[in-house]
Amino acid sequence: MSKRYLVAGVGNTLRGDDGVGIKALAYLKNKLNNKDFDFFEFSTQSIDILNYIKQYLYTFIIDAADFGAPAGSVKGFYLEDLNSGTVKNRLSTHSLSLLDFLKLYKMLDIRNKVYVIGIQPNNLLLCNDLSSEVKASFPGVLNQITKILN
Amino acid sequence: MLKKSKSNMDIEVKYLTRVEGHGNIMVKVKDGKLLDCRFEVIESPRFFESMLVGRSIYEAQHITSRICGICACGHTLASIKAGEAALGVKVSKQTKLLRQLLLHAETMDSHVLHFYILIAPDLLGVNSIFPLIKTHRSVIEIALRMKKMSDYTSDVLAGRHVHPISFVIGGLTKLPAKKTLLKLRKMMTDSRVDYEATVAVFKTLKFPKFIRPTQYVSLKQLGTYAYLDGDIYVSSTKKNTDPQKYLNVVNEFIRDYSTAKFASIKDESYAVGALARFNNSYKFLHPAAKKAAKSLGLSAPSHNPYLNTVAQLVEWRHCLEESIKIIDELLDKGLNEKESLVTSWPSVKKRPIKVKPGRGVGAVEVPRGTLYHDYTVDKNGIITHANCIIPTAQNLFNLENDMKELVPQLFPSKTKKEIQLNLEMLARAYDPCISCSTHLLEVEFV
Repeated sequence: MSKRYLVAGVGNTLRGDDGVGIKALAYLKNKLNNKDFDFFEFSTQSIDILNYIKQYLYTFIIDAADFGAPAGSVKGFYLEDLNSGTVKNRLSTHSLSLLDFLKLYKMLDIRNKVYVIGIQPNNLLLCNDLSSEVKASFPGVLNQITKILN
Repeated sequence: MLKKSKSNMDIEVKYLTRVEGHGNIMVKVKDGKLLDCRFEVIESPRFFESMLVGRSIYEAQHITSRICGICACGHTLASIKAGEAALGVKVSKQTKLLRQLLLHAETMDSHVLHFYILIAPDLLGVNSIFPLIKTHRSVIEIALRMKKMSDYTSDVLAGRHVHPISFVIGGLTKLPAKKTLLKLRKMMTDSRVDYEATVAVFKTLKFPKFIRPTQYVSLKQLGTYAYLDGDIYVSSTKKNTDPQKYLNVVNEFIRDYSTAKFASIKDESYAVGALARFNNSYKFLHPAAKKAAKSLGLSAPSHNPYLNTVAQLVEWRHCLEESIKIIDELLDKGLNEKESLVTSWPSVKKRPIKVKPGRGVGAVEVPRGTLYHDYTVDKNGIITHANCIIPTAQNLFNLENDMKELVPQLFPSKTKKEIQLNLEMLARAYDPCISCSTHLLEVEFV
């Protein structure tokens, strides 16, 4: 594996803005240097990211995230900055929550950096289009990645 | 919630853990008699069949692969097979081999998740895999390595490690390179060591003893342990039925407490999945898998539903060895683009396929059992009717009947906690995949 960075899209493209992580990949692929980056769609199988992040210096996880901001807002944070204290002994296979993921990441002593870029969704109904606010968030996602790498 | 007196007991397991989706277990015993015993599916319906109506048959598999993040390849292949049956399309042997390889990879991927991450905690007396990372770290690392191999297989064959993109009606839009197949083969042969370690771990674990014979249903094809093709075989009647006539065999019905339909055959419940396949097609298992079954104490027929997990473990080895065999065959002959390469939708005009009105059924064995997709298309290849029957829905009636027989065996000698755990383990043994739904991160900062 010669590429240093992984951009991982997570989400369900049939649930409106929930698919922003997947749909942002095409935009990012055109804007970032493909010699340095791999782009993978993880959809709803986020547990599999664990096996991949160990191969990259940095992994950027792009996903819909509810942080109570206006639709389309972008917020980035390192995985270890999340509060894992609320994770109890639960784990499902499809909908592995970010907190479950964090706990596994920490318990397995994975040192590779994981930076999560959350986009505040507007519409999570059954449809395969993004809302206009969320669609407009792609440059903000790109800014988060370039900011971290600079 | 769980209440019990000397002759009364109520069990309400709301949101059964370590299964996909949301299901409840409800049991009511009064005056020593079992009054009610249910497995309630409480997920919102997702209406995938309705979503398919009005869409092109060529995009159906991209929609239905989203039904499940674990069985995405199975849904894709059932969808493609239904489309090909409706349009009268035949595919090459090479295409079938590549499809079988993809299906094996998915089966291995799903099984390893189930027996390590969802079942092992029960057998080791903990609530989840998190405590196991401290006590059995090497085992969890084995699980992740095994999963990595099957993820990679799907990634390089289907263009994505989940929700395949390159498998379409008539063939594939891209073939794997020779060096990719060589790398894959090496990863698979390396996995044998991890598998042997897994068998050694599971040999030491004790599964609950419970016997209830039922009807076992799976695809069956002479000379092979069927996954991709075959007739519907019902163990009670020993009859084979063409999957195109599945409605002559499978009857769906509704329970007012479940948003998932139930299913019966001749008004009786039946089981699909690894144990059903093992019971129906044991003699076609790869010798290495048979050896593993013997080592794990599993013999056919087995009527203990808890041992579905052991059957999955056995199938994992079968899928691995068969995958290596397929790769060897593809490498020996060399991949021929003319045999499999087709253009993708919407470039329908470039296809040599004549679109005509018709109806077709695609049936495949996915990790949890037989999956049916049934489409009717009009003269333009637009879907006018769709029906999908997933394995978990077929198992719900059987699971309830197991629970109804198990509870009187445990009550009142076992404690409330023991009975509840046994019921939860029974439900988990079926590996229910209740649904894939929206996941939305709920972010809480430190």
